[in-house]
Amino acid sequence: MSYAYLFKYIIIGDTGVGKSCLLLQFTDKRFQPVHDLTIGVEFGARLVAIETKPIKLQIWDTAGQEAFRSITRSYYRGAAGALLVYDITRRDTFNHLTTWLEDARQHSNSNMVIMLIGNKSDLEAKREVKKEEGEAFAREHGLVFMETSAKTSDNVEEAFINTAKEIYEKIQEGVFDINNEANGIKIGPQHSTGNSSIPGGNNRASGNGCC
Amino acid sequence: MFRSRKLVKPENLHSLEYLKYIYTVLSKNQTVTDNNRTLLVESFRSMAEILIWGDQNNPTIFEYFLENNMFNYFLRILDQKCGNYVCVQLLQTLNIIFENIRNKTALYYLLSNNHVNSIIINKLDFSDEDVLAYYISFLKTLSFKLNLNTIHFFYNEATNDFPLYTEAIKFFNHPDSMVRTYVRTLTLNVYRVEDESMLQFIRDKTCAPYFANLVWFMGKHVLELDASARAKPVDVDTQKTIQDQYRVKLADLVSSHLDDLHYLNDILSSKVDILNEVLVDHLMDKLFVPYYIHSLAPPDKYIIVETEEFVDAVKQQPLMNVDICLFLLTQVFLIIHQTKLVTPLAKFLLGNNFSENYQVYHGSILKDEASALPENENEVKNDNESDILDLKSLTCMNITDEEKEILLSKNEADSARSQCLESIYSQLIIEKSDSSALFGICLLYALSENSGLSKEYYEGFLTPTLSEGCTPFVHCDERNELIDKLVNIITAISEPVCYVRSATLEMAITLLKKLTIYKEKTFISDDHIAVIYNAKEKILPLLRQFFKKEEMFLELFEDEYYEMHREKLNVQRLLSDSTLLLPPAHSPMTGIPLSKRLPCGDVERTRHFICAFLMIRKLLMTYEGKEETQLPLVDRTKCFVFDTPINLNGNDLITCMIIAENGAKTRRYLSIISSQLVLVEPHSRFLGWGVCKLSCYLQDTEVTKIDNETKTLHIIMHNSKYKMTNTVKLMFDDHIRCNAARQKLLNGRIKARRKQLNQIANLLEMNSCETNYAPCNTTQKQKHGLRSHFTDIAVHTSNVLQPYPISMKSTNSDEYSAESNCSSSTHSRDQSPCTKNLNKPECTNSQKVSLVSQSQEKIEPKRKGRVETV
Ligand SMILES: Nc1nc2c(ncn2[C@@H]2O[C@H](COP(=O)(O)OP(=O)(O)OP(=O)(O)O)[C@@H](O)[C@H]2O)c(=O)[nH]1
Ligand SMILES: [Mg+2]
Repeated sequence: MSYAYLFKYIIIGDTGVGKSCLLLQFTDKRFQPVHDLTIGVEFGARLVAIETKPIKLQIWDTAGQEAFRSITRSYYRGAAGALLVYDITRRDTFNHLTTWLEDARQHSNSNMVIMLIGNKSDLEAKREVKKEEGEAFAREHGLVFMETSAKTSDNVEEAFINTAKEIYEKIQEGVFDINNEANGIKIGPQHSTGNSSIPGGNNRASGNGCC
Repeated sequence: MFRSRKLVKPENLHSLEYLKYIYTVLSKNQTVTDNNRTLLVESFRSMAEILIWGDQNNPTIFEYFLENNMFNYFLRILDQKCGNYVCVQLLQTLNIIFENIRNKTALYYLLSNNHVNSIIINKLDFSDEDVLAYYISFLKTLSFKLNLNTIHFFYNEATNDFPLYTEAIKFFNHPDSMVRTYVRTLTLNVYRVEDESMLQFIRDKTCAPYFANLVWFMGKHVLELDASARAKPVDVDTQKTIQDQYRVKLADLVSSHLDDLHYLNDILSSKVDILNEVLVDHLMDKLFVPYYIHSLAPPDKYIIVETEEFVDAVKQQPLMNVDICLFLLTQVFLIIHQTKLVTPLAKFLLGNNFSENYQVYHGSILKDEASALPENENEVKNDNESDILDLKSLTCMNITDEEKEILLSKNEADSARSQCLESIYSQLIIEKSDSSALFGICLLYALSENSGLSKEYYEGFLTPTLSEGCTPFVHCDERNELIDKLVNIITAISEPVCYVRSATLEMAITLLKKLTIYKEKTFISDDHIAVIYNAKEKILPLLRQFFKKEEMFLELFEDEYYEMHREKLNVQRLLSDSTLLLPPAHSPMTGIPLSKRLPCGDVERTRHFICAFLMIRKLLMTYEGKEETQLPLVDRTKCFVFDTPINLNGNDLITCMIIAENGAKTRRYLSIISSQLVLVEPHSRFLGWGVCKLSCYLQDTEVTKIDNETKTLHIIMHNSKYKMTNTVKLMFDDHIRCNAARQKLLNGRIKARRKQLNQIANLLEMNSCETNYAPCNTTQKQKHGLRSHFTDIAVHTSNVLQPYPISMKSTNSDEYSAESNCSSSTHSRDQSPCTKNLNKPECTNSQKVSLVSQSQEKIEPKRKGRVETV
């Protein structure tokens, strides 16, 4: 299916914060939470609409590869957006954000849009990190912030789409060099500026990755 | 029978019934058609969910799945060229299953029967980016399941088959960087599995083509990089857009080359010797020696060996630019720390007897060649028909013979010193641009820091001579010559015409220290120290001139000082900046930080020389074993910290309110203690004591008064160390107190600045602190009328009231109380005693002003004998 742009995302954060679950929830949100079912996946693609333009998002998760320096490097470099995830029920995952961010800033291209995600917002009773703390961290480091739940799918859609919006704005401002695929942005096969809005707006056709 | 035609979808997705329902759907729709497409996709999607749910909750689900061989449907459907829509869902279902399954038995079952391998070798429509992405992702997920227990599911020893690996590496050079990254992850996961037979297979069947191609493409990118760094647009400072594009391209090339080097290092770190040997040989034979070593030291008979493509290629592009070559070699030593690779390369670079070293190295090639290369290549071609890697043909890679001749021809050219070293040395002489020198220094530094390289290769050369004699590779006098060269670079920076960048100086000093300091002992001749000393002496008059005419000298000086101490030099980070490959730029509009370019204009020149001065001064102090006593000008770590109790007895306190952004007011008392503005609140227990709530050195404050607000002041506090600013709004009881506070702060600021200018004058060994500007000129443009008015008063009154007697007894409000844990006393005590008289409370503001300027003048004569009025 044709799209105006393809944005590549990466998803980073400590192990167990819910990256794979967020990814699956976003690319195929029909996965309903039952009986503490844990389903995650490390790659997914989905078509969304930003200002009526069809945009394809590809999310690449490379958890577990920290042992290989070369992988981390190229992984960061090839992305236009990053979701930096921590678990609101585990303070240590919040404390490690600085390290993640340093890594991201060091290896990525300077225009990469980073969205800070406090995940598992459904577990209010077990909360260890206040929402304000997440907000403060995001403000201090110039990130967009959101609390999500991969379980109830609360804000998951918004997190991915807001990131896309910001990348899209950067493209409109001419900050991103879209001709350079190394930045994690690709122009669609039949990029037409005409009315290429997706029928039904945000509504994916059935099946993930159908785009 | 007829009833069952109408399928009833069970309500509960997480149930055996639902899986049975899916089974029926699949068995009834074994052929994909336009009509059942959606149904099939839906079935596969649900299947993933049920299976994982079953894996965690209900074993009967999996049993049913296995009993009915449901996995076969995956294959059957894939085999039909089912269309990408179905294909993508199938792959994603597989991904979900393999990623989430926890039950080992179930996993092993799924992997057995070669089902997975059949899926892997299925020719899908990889021109569809989704199919490819989900496919590669599937392979990558599987590679995380590899271990000694599972390897035999993927690698079949009997048939010599390892589709997971061989299919994946076909995409190693795919244009999509994420696909490449996933392929690399997979290969690294494979090399980690310590299965000898599998690794032997990799070596015999795939090493030559995969590694050869990897190295070949690296070589290709290196040449591209060389070409694009050479194709310099007319002037680096002009043509912004072309410049930008050009810089982006260069940056990309450099980054991906560094990625490659990191990847090589990751492979080599896996310590699989049988693979690494092949990789090292390829790298040496096809990249490092022909491209780098030969560019540094062109073999005499290089071109005479007229054989086939390699030499043809070489003729067209025989030698790389030496700067780029040094840059790339440095990267190798910075990134790769594996003895097997760095040792032969270091031998080439440092070896004084080329032929001898070559013999050593050559042995390994021959050995290897006999065992690995020739037969592999044939086998590879036969076994896998040309499709195992539809990449560059192998014959192109097979150039070892020609190279051998080239290398052998080198044997005859017997030189006393390594030609490479000779060549590096010649780069260290700075003529027009300091780029070569910078890279040459970095290379030698990276060599000496490489943990994979045994010390014996550079001991006594890149380190001080520890024992008599030479290393097996380098003569001792070469260390001396290198010191000469480095010292000359230091001298070069002291020329009034700038052509050496601060980064180069810093690297030169770093390497020089490496060469001359060992365990706190220094090994450097007095002659060399004298040259360095002279360089410093030559910078001094330049700095004195700047000091006199540059109003911001103090700020620049402090900034450079903190810049220098902010972070330790990180060579790897420095060299990851591809702009270094361009000729040194001048313009700040290039976005390149000053340390990596040449200064533009007087302010930058001032900074440049301050930086050089500070670095050389520090170096000399290290050699002389002196402690730092004069810097920093103000130790900002001694600033009162939050919540410190302070004895306020005898201090002037002005009541005020801090007005927060939201309008909230907090009562505080403002005082000036040890040249700091301090806002305190009363101590809860000790009378006359306060607790510090906010503090800042006076010279770092800016006070502004808003015209229509008579009672408030805006105070901007700069933190020069962390480059942060903080603004507070203070409201006083009335305009008189407000003005009093303002005057006090301004006076204090002038005084503090004066003192520091004196300190700098001392550092610059000046007779007096003469400047062409009034000391109270602030760093900011004087937007505010009152402030400039004040300036006038300061200048004016100091002239008029010069003979004001300074003999009053002091209440000494400027001294902090002994009990407080602020320890800046040493600083205030530097000053001559008369400063203590300054803040006598009875003084009116203007008197105080005069006192400030006057006492300064009083101080100076004592010290230096001469003074200029402001
Ligand atoms: N309650 C709740 N649990 C969640 C949520 N997101 C994820 N989880 C659970 O957290 C655990 C870890 O989730 P994953 O998605 O596998 O975490 P990950 O970040 O991918 O971890 P790694 O792949 O190891 O780096 C699983 O048990 C999930 O069920 C959420 O939003 N709410
Ligand atoms: Mg995960």
